[in-house]
Amino acid sequence: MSDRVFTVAALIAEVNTLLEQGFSGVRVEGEVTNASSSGRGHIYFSLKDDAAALDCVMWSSRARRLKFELEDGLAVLALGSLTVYPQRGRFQMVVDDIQPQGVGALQLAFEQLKTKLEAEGLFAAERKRSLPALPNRVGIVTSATGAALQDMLKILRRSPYLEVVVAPAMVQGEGAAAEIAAAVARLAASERVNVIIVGRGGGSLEDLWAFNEEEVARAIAASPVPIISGVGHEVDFTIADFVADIRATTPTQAAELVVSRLEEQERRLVDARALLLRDLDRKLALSRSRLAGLAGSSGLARVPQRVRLFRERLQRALRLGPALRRVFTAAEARLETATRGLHRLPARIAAGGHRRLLTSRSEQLAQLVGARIAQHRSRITAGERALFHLGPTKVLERGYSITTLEGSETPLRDAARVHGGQTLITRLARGELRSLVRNATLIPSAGTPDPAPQPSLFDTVEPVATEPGDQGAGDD
Amino acid sequence: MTDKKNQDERFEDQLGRLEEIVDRLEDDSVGLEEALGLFENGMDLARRCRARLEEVEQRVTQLLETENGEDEVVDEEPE
Repeated sequence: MSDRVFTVAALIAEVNTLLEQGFSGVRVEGEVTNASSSGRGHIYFSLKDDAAALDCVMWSSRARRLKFELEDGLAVLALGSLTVYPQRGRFQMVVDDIQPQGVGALQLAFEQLKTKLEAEGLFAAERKRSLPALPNRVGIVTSATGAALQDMLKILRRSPYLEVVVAPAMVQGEGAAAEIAAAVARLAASERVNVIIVGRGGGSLEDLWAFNEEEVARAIAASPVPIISGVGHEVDFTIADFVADIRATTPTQAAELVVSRLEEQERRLVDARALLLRDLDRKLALSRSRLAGLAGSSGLARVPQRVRLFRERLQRALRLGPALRRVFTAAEARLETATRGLHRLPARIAAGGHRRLLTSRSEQLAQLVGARIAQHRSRITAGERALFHLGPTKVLERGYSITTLEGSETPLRDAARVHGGQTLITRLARGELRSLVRNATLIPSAGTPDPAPQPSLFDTVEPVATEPGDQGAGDD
Repeated sequence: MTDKKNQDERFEDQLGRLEEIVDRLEDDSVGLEEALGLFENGMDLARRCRARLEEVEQRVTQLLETENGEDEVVDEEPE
């Protein structure tokens, strides 16, 4: 044993020298525990196995380059040097490089970031926006020199009404992730695009790595414009693909999605317009034939005849009593105007113009007349009922008749009012007779000698004393 | 950006309404007057949709970042 006496510092310095000589570039395998990082980015942790533990530090300059997180429990292989930290006298390993064991560093990093962002909800289906209805301003983030851009432009050129804005970015290597993220943000903020395609052609996991970086994922998630990712080939799934609103298998397929949408909308529009024209044509044809049916047909043609019949019945009712006239005059007038309008109708139909006006007007008019006729018919029925109840008809049924001078509505009671040559109208229970008076004789009758000035319906009608058969044969 | 989103929704709404009008016109019970009204409405919608569809022309530009942080738009040569 040496007699040399050391100062603490000197001792440690010598030990460090020995360590440097014997243990620089040492490789240690173990499990990570107690990992933490300082504010400056240095990582402190321990490497342990069953029997022992070793304190480690990774300075931020190195730590920064780590693709994956040093999580507790991770099995790793560390490369570095051993040293004693003088101030504390602590023995530690300064780690220059560290690799996970059993799985690639990139693979691990991928898994770790995927788990982390998924937990934050960035992959959630509810977040994803659908392709815009009209994606006609397309932004593209990709390499300016790669084949992917040309492939995409070729597809996009199929649509005549589409504008493209390219924000070029490196798609692999140092700094690529930063450029991609910046390009996405720039396009989104420019307000010149309504959809963005982010992508690149195929490659290895290392080549595609930029699209697995957190920076890119966050830029995509933050974009106010919907994003389609098209990275590599069908089998390649990157973090960018998980965060994007729509994942395309390749950059070409991303462009295809956009163009298909535009073509689909155009087709819908063209089809709808064609159907619109066709349907209207069909409707016009239908209406034309309906109108022809209406004008020619029995229905409308029979109306004037019906009107005439009703008018005749009305007039007959009127002859029986002026009291009724009050009830019916207004009805008659209205029927008259309706009929007048109706007579004009066939002419308008024949004219054929203003089909639209015609259909609705003719329909309206037919309805109107029909309604009026129904009204009058019910009034007439009511009137007839009233008549019946008030008596004359009952009387007529017994064989009596009512005679008036032609042209007069007043029932005759006095033969003195009649002279030869006049025409009489005799109303029977069924039917009427028109007769020419040969002569009139006064036959005294029981009861009041003078006829009432204006007979009312409430008088019982005295039978006119004529023998049935004595009158001249009527014309009817 | 919200403006562009509303524009997009409006286009889809108009196209949707046009297709509804077409469906309605297929119905034989629709009278001629209503059909004409629907037709006019539909043609108007079709016109607007066509205008939106064609509002942009084919064009390729680059959006670059310049040194002082501004954006620059450059027209690319057509292929």
